Amino acid sequence: MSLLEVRDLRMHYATREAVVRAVDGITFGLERGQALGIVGESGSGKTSLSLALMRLLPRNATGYSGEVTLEGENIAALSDDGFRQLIRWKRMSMVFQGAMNSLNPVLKVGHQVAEPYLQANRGGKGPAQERTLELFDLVRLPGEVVNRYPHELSGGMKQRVMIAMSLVLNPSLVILDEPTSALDVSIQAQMMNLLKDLKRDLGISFIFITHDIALASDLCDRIAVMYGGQIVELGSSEDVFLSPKHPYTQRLLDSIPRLTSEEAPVFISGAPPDLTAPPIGCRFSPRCPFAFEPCADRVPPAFIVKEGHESRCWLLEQGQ
Amino acid sequence: MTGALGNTLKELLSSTTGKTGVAFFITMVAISVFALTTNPLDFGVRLWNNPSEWADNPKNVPPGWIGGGVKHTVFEATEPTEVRQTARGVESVYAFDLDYGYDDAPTFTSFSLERVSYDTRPTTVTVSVERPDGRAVSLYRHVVPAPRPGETPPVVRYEDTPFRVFLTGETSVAGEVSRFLQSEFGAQIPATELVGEIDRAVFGTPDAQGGGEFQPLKGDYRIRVLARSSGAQDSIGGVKFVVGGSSFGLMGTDSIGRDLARGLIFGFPVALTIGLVTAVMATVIGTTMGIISGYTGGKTDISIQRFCDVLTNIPLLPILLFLAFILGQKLWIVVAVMIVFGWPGLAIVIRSMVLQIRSGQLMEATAALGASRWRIMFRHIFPQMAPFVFAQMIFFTPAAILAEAGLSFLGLGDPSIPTWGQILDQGFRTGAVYVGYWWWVLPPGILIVLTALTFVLIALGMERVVDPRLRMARQ
Amino acid sequence: MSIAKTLAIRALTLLGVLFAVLVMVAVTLGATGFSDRMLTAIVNEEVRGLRQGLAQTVRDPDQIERAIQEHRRELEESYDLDRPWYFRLPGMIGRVVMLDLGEARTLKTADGSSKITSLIAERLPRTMLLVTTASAITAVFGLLFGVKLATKVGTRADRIASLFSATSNALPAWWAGILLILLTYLVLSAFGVRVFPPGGMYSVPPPEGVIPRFIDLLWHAALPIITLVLISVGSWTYVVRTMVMNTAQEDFVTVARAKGLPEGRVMRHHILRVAAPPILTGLILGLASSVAGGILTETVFNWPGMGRLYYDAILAVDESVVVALTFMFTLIYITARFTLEVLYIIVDPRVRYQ
Repeated sequence: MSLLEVRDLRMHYATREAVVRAVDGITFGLERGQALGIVGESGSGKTSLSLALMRLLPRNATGYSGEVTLEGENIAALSDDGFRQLIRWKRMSMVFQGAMNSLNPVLKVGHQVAEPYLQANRGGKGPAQERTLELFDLVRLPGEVVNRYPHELSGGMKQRVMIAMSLVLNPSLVILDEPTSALDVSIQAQMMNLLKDLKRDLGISFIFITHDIALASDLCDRIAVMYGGQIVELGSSEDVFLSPKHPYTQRLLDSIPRLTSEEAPVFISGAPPDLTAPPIGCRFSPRCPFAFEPCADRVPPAFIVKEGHESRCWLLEQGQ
Repeated sequence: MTGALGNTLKELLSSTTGKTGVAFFITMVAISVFALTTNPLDFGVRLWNNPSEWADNPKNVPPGWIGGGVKHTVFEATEPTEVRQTARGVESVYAFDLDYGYDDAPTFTSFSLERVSYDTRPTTVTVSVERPDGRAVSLYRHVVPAPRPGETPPVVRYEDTPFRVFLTGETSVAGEVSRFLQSEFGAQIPATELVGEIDRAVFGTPDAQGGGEFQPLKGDYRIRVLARSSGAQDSIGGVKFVVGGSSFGLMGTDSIGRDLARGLIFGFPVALTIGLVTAVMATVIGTTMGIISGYTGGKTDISIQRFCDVLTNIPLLPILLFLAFILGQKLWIVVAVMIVFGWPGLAIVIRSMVLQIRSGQLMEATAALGASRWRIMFRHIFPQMAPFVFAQMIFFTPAAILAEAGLSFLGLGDPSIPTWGQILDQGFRTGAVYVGYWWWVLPPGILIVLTALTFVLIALGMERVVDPRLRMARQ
Repeated sequence: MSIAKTLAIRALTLLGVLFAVLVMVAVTLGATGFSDRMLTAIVNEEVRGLRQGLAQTVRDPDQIERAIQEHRRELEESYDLDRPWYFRLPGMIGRVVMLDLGEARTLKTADGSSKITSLIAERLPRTMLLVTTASAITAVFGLLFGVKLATKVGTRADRIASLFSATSNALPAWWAGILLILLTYLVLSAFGVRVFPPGGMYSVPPPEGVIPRFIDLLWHAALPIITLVLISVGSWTYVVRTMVMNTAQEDFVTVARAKGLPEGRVMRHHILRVAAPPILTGLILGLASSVAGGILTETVFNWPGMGRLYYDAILAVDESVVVALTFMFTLIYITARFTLEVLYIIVDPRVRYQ
């Protein structure tokens, strides 16, 4: 049994003018102890996907639907209150983008880490304190930090606090939303090492959301490439990174500047799709250099490239 | 910049609150224009605070549309109804017909003469009333003053100020009426008791059992003014007879008979001027100082900010009262004080906005391109804040209007310019509020609130333009 | 910057404000010749007293005149009337700062003292009774409604509330008071019931006994308090709603929800804790400015507090009282502001470590 199965997940939200189809039919699976990277440019719906998984719907959300099975249980069928009590932080937690604003400025960080523990009644203040210190040790933070306020910590320290916080109730899945993008490169490397250690030592499953495909392939077993609210390519890190099949993934990889290569990085021309009125067929077709007759009108299905590697591109139809 | 303001206006008109506010505002401007074109600019001194201007109005009466009671009637004539030649000269009769169907007596009656001119013998004027019961009562007799020594004919009297007699309170009239009651009804009512009650006797019949009570007498009355003069060369400019009503005009009257509607209408341009002048000046100064402070930095910045800090920490109302008390009750002083204390708050906010904008890349680029300081400040920084500044200006307007109203209410208003606050103050001081003279205290208050509300509504309609966060939330 | 230094700077600024107000008041009085007239009036008063005293004992008019001239000269010298007004500035400011506020010309306390300090001591508690009660009621209602509305942003209830708040922003307290007085008059004339008295602090004559007197006081305070609450509760609710709404959009609130915390705890622990300092600011500043704003409300309801005293002083052209009260209002205002700075440091750790 896989840890997480997501089928046809959708979340739209309404603005004054139109409906934004931010998450539009997402399907993927994740095995226990594995890490899935979700890669895409900004506005591709990555963060909306993470919020949809945690069911943290914005006030203006409409059309939330789909099936989310966590450890065999369809958690999408739970009531809002049931979801809050049974799932959030206990089985699925999250490290939010931008650690700067993710901590409450007027509460001590130790208290904020221990808060879910106290709320879940796993023991009194003493055990909560112990658990916090244990986690701080795990994320390599000095114990005295528990009594500090967020503004007294550096960006890296705050991010470690956030990671410690996400682990406090031993969840089976942690969603990491751009956990390193706001950090300096050296701290970013430390953070990646920490995450790798946690994955190895604790056997936690991660969903790692990033715009940096190289970073994702470093940590993750599998990678899903998102474009325009949908997954366009899904496969193992090696397959996606080394032999990408979707033209968008290929452009994405070409756009990474490489020190060892003579070639100049290639930028993807055109703008990301307007999610209030996305293209009818393949959402990448207006920007795709290989676009041909079916692309503009028909939505490409997921073509199996090989076992565990699929891609939604009409170019792959002939190959099958 | 025009683009930014255009968008602001578009956004403003897209919300109900904004639309309501703008509609109110346009109405107010229209009323103000009307008030200024139909009244002299020195309305306050020449008319409003001149009691003789209002002498012929009833005092403390509710608006006319309230219905019931005696209708206020003013009879005026410049030409006599009838001219008779007699042996002794000319008799001119001015007759006024009054259909009297009320259960109460008039609140007062008065009589005026205007511009009497005679050659040799002073003109004599008598006023009498013919009643529906066929009886006639003579009320008043007046001989125009004789020529002064050395004065050459024609002698002109009552040219600048008309001769006016308040019949209701006149002792000689009371005597006439007392004699009338005695001879016609046999009622023994001394003249002293009749002073102030004359109209009840003239427009009624005494109760049979006596006791000084009267039953109103309904029907057709004729008021006759008879002028005797020596010849046709003598003339009278006009006669006036007023039957004081128990209601008046659109908004009623105050204790000296002022037509409240006129004062209220004149209050529109005054309130708008106070609000807008204060708001515009405070905003202009605040924005300029804020931009200078934020953009120049250094010592200029520190001194401006310290100064603002001091001013914003001073409680406005007591200082305003103090200054109005000491410097005198002049509207411009009040406006000036509100400007002086109004701009620093804005300057502090504008400065912090400038600091934010200045650190932006566009500014660095413009500076690198060699644009001058002033050009950067007003061509590049200001347009980005224009909608906010505009909203602040709108928001400041009601504050100024309310502050002036409060000051006027405390009796520190400028006596030469009537404002709603002053009307309220007079109503409050004369006790109108404790005896239920609602027409005196409600309308000025409602107008103050409506005017302030107009600007609050406009500001509310602009909230979305100014605060992008709110724009998100409303989506 | 350390807390002590921050506080010291604030304290200095606020003292600067107090000083600036004093100088402004003194200069205005001096430059407009008011101060001269005030002092001359005092001198004349004393001279008149002396003349009456002398007239009973001394017969010779010339002798009286000489003595009086001598005395007048001494008095003028002692009041510095023989020198231009700006020489008196330091002394005048010094006396006010030391709370040596002088004597009122006509106004007196209930027990007949005309010392301005006793006048203020008598009136201030009455003003505080009105203002603090009204502020407490407003704060409680504002918090309850505001928090409730923040969860309903954009709904009909929210729009109605914001309209109500806008209206109460445009509603001057004194006019609201007049409306209420008019309303009680109408009720009185229609039903013969006096719901609330239109003004004053006690019935005439006041009832016997402590408890009936207290109830009488509350009965008289009701209308002014209702007025104050009515005009401030709307905008207060709106402030709370906006603060809470803005805070609710912060990332850490989403995090708190993600942590599985129930809504109530998210609101109390995460939103309100953060929104509290600005809300507190609003409350205390509102309190401070309604002490001064009480001038109007107290006048309307004939409530014998500080504000009414100010009004009476203006009517009686009692300059020393006007000056003293202007100073007192400023003092109260800046004291409130300083209290606020201190409270802020206690409530908001961000300020503490800046």
